[in-house]
Amino acid sequence: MTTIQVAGLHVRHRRTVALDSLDLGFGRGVHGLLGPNGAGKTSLIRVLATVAAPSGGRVRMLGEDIADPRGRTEVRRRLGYLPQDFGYYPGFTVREFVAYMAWLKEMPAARTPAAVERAVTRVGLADRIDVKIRTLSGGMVRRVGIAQAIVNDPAVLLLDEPTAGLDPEQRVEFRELLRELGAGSTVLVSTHLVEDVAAACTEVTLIAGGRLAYRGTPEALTALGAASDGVGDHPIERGYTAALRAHREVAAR
Amino acid sequence: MTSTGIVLYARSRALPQTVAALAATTVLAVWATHSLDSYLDPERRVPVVALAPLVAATAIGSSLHSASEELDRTAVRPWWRRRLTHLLCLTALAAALLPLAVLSSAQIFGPPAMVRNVLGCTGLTAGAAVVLGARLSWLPVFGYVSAMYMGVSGLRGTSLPAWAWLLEPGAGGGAWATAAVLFALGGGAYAVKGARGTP
Amino acid sequence: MTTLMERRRPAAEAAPLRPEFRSGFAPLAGAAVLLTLTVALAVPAESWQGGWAETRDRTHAAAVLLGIPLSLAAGCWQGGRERRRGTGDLLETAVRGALPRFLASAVPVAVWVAVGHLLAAGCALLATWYCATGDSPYLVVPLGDSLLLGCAALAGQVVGRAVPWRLAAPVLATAGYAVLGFLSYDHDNAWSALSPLTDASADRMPVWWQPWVSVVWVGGLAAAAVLFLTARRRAVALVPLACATAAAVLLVGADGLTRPAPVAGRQVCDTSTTPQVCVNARYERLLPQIAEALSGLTGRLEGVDHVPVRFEDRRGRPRADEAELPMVTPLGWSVVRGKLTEPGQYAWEAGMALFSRADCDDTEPAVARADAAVEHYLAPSPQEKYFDELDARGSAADRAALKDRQRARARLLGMAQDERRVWLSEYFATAGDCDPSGVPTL
Repeated sequence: MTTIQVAGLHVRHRRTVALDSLDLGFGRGVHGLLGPNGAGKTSLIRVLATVAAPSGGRVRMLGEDIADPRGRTEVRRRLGYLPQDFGYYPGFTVREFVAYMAWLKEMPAARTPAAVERAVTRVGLADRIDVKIRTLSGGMVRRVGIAQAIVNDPAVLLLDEPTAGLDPEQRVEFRELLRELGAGSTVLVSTHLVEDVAAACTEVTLIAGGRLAYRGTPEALTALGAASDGVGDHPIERGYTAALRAHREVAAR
Repeated sequence: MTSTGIVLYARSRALPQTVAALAATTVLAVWATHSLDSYLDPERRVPVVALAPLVAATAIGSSLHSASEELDRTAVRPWWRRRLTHLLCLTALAAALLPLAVLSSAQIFGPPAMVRNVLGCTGLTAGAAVVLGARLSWLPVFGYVSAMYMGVSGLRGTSLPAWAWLLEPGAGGGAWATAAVLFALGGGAYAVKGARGTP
Repeated sequence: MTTLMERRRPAAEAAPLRPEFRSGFAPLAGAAVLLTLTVALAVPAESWQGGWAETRDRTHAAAVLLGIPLSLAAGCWQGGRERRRGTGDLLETAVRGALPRFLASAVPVAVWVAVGHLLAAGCALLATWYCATGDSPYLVVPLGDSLLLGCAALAGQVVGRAVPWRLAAPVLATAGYAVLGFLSYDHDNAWSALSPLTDASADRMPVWWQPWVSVVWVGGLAAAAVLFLTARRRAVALVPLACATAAAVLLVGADGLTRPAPVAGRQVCDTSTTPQVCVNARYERLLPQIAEALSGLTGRLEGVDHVPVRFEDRRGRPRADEAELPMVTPLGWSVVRGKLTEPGQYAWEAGMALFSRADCDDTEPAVARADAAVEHYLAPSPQEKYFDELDARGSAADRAALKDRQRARARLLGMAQDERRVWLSEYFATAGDCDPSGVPTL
């Protein structure tokens, strides 16, 4: 079932084109969003998060058109978002910050305390729940960001570089969390770490230069790397470079 | 939990500190009118009537800053209502507190002039927050108050032009109208658009 | 090869600083100072435009009272930048010392703030230049003020670095207002010498060393603060602090920070008329206009005896044989932008300065009638008609007085020229006397 349907999406920042008539659909599961720096990953995620308005095209999420204010509000209720740089209030405790975000999402007040504790436990910060964010390390702050994104059990979860700053053990646990979340909802993870994609994603979307470069399963991407002579140390890294090179050759023609 | 949500919102915008700053401004303003011997001549209150609303508006302006701008924009709750309430409550508080400094005479630079200046300055600050970001919102209003404070003292005659609303001594209708329009425009722009996100 | 590299080096060294100068907050701060000062000067332009001393004092007051708080705020804001951007830790690891790093971010704001003030002061000078009435421009005071504003921006930056509070900048500026206001509120106060604002009036000027010592006083404080914050050995800060203290002692202990302007003691005269017309040398270019405005009056007094020798325009009371020229200052009333606004009113005021029985307890109706007729003949008041009409509509007594006045006027006008000259000579011999017996009647 498709939860996110993108048609002819166009995003422009001043004079540069970030996304160029993109057509995509995402269903339940964990989707890895790969691409070089400046490919348009963050632009796509910000449009899907209803933070930025596209300059052209249509986006339907969870059966609503996000150009319509009422539809947008309904989508936001069931949306989780972790921006690349998320601002936080240093004087808030973890519990307060996540509760504040839950309040902003208009979660029923009765359910909020339990939901906050569950979200914080899921990211492994249960022992730090009443500590001020100011005193946390960079990786822990990142996990607070993930906790606020999942506090409302979102049907669509958008994560921009979620694993940056996490230690290897945390990343393994986070992939487990991703798989768990992907069972019930649509999770879109933008990342540069292809190992995460190989381990946790059910589908890979590669964007380059604002256009779709490749779509398939991680296994297919790995196979592509083995078949062609991609560069890299990891099989899926070879697939990534091969797909990118093929896309550039087509684009150059 | 709803009340907790509002409390958290208030803390996220540093409202307790802002209220404390407004209270401190009031105390300073009362002390200043007293030490300027303003009972001798109401004109001596001009510094208080011009500067106290400036400081209050600066405090209110800096409370419009949000640290989690990107996340705020995905909120389900309609922001404009919250922003408007936020601005109106603080302006009302300032407009209620600051006139305490100039109670002794209502005619010249009295409570009506103080309330009018609070409205005008806050409107300018809110507008500046939309354009420049909340943290730098004090700059335009500061320049305006400075220029007026110095410039208008040299103006001939008693009837001041509309843009000199800050220093109209009485409760003149024109100055009130200008200040009210500024507050409506600035406050409206802030309620609709919110403060510009700055790092 | 070597020469090429040597030649390129300065440009490469300056390059990292160039963006700070060209974009970001520094030009914005300069623009804010320029805009604020321009508005503060342009609004009351009538009261200073045309007089160099007035221009100097107005620009100086605006620079000190508005420019310094604004510069403090601008510097303070820039000082909080590393904290806001979270680049503090990164900069701590730099090889360059704390002082160069501080200056790299502080100097652009200081320079732009000073440039903003210089532009505003330059505009004011230009605005006066095209309608200047005499005297010559004063350049030292605005130059000193620019330096003051730059120093204030540096001092503000120190506060911005040290105080992690988001209201620090506006509150610092308001405190600056309060301190400057307190120092300048009452010039009899001993501390007022410490305010960079000199208590100058248009016919006095600051002594030559005052602007520079003021800069050393404020600049010394700013430099001490900068060095205390950034120098590896904080004791170095004592050197500028000692300079500032010395300057402060000099300012407080000085026997007056202003002196009379030499030009204000002189006057220029048109000696071809009776009485002669003299104008203070500060407004010498107004002489033709004033002589023209008074030409009717002086023409009518030609050949009349016992008239004052001249209209004088110096400080203090006129001598026994002189009359006081109606006031040109403060600018913005009878003179606006180098032009006499109401020559008729001015001539009437000049005529009234020639005779006055204001000190007398009461005047006889006959004397009052003669006075009114002379007033009417020399230079009638622009309001004369209005008062006549008022009396015409008034009580019977008012109407009778009006009729009397009109008859006296007609009689003076009706005289033959020689007869009138003799009558006026007789009249002016008694001008100012309270004894009615000598005053010729009409």
